[in-house]
Amino acid sequence: MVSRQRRLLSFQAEDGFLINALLVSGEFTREKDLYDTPIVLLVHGVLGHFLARGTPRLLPNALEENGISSFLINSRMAFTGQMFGGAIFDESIMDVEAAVDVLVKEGFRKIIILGWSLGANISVYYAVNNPHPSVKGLILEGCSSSLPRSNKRRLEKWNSVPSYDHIYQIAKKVLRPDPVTTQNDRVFIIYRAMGPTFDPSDVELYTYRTWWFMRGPEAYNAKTNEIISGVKIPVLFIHGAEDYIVGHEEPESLVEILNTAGNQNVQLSFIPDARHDCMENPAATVDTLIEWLSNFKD
Amino acid sequence: MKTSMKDVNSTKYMEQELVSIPFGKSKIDGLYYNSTIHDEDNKKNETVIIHVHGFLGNFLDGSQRFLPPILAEGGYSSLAINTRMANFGLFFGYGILNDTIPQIDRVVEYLEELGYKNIILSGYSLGTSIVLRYAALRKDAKKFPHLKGVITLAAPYSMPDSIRRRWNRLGSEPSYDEVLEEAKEIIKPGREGTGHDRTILIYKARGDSYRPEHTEIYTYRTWWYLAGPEAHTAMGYKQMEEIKVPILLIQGWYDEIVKPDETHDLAQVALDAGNKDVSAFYVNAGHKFEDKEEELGDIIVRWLDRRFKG
Repeated sequence: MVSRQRRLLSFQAEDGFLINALLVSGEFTREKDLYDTPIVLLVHGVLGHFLARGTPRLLPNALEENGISSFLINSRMAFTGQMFGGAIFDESIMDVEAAVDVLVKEGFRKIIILGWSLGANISVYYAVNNPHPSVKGLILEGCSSSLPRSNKRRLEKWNSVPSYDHIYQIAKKVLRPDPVTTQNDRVFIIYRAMGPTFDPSDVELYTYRTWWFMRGPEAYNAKTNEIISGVKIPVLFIHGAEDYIVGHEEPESLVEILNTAGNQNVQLSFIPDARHDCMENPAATVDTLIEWLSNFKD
Repeated sequence: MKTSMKDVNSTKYMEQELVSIPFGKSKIDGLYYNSTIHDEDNKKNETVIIHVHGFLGNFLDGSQRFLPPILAEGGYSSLAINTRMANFGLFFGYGILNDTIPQIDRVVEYLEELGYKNIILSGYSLGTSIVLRYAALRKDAKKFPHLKGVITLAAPYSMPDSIRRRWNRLGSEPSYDEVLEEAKEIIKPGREGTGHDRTILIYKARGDSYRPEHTEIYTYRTWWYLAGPEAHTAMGYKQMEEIKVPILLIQGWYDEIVKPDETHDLAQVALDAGNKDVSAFYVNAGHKFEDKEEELGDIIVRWLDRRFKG
């Protein structure tokens, strides 16, 4: 008998970054059953972590009730990473790689990566970069088609201070000689980034370098629409029907790109009565996931 | 690269459990370290330590993470918690020190329900302001019989004075006085919850460069109640005068954020106020006590043993 588990784990990415993770799994009759059942590797959203409200907080227990284990990681993008310089989008796949390595070493053979919001874009970037053979599928929740375009649109919509273009100009100066090798970086605030006021709830905080690689016009790896054609494993998009942060057309366009590239194992499900967080409708979300995950059982 | 699924914090001396303690409409997250070391008659230790994080911290980092396993080996269980001031509470306006008090009340109640009789509050850096404030407000032993001691790690004598001195020394941009003038406008009576708050950056607040690690982030409101000249709740010495339970202060000699003198001065305030059980220790370490984790843990275990064992 394998007993129910809630284990806090810590391990390092290739560059030494310390990743905290939470393993959530139920009872299994045999160890083999645990490892043969799909496990969902969950990657959080912006400023998120494995206890953040919504999907990270609610989904693992709901999946466990249906016999599916989860492994939730705090990547370098978690907490205040984007505000103090550590959260470089391109480097975040090292955290996913390390988590996959941990699961593979433990014996899991069917790893499904679920990325929520920003985590979805990270997951796609991982999946186009030689994913481990034990990674069998992707679940992309609230996936933006392009993080830079999404940021530009939002900042223009709310007439942010400073504007997207102004940030880009300043970033080029601050990050001399180039954003990869520079020793210079600064924190900055974007007022009216999330809404029409100067209130703290409407601001975004980055460093120029974290913005550059996640939101800037040259953040190539965060332009999911330009790289997703390289994903060859099955993909499930789940998207809140009432999501006002990422529009319906964004996952629809990503499905089309995947299909055009020859990946026909792609499903898009809109979750009724949910906004950016699909777990606002837990029953519909869990039903959709469990049905799709059943494809991976022997 | 190969990594291991072994939990680096797991030891044979404890069991770990993530807990979410219901608190009104929300929850208080914490990591509970249940020591499995029992005394000779197999009786469970009735003393538990609550660990409160520092600036931008949470229960997964710093002393909140490295101390509980060491204390567990000494027979003491711990609960490391996230308060409203954890992570980015200071950036978005809800990280107000006094609002953590009901949270800690709830955590204490939770530990009492688990059967603990001796509850010790331990704070690190900013967290010392929280635990000192709490202990001062809950000093009535008849009403709060289980609060038995306070531990401070890198405690500022006064958070507002400490921040002002540091910013002035480093030439922060904006200066302390410039932030104060702006904050006065924002904090005017009657403006609570009216959308008049703003997030602000202070460059050169923690070092002499504009780099992110030397920058601090607040809203005017969170700054006012933590660092402003009228932030009495964050002035450790004022709280210290009220506390009558045993106090242990530990400080790094090479701390560049909190001066070693501040611990001496805090201890003196407690003694002058009539507290007969005040201890202060210095270790050869900086603000984070790096490479001195075991030494720090040993000091605390010995201090606890003398007062609460047997």
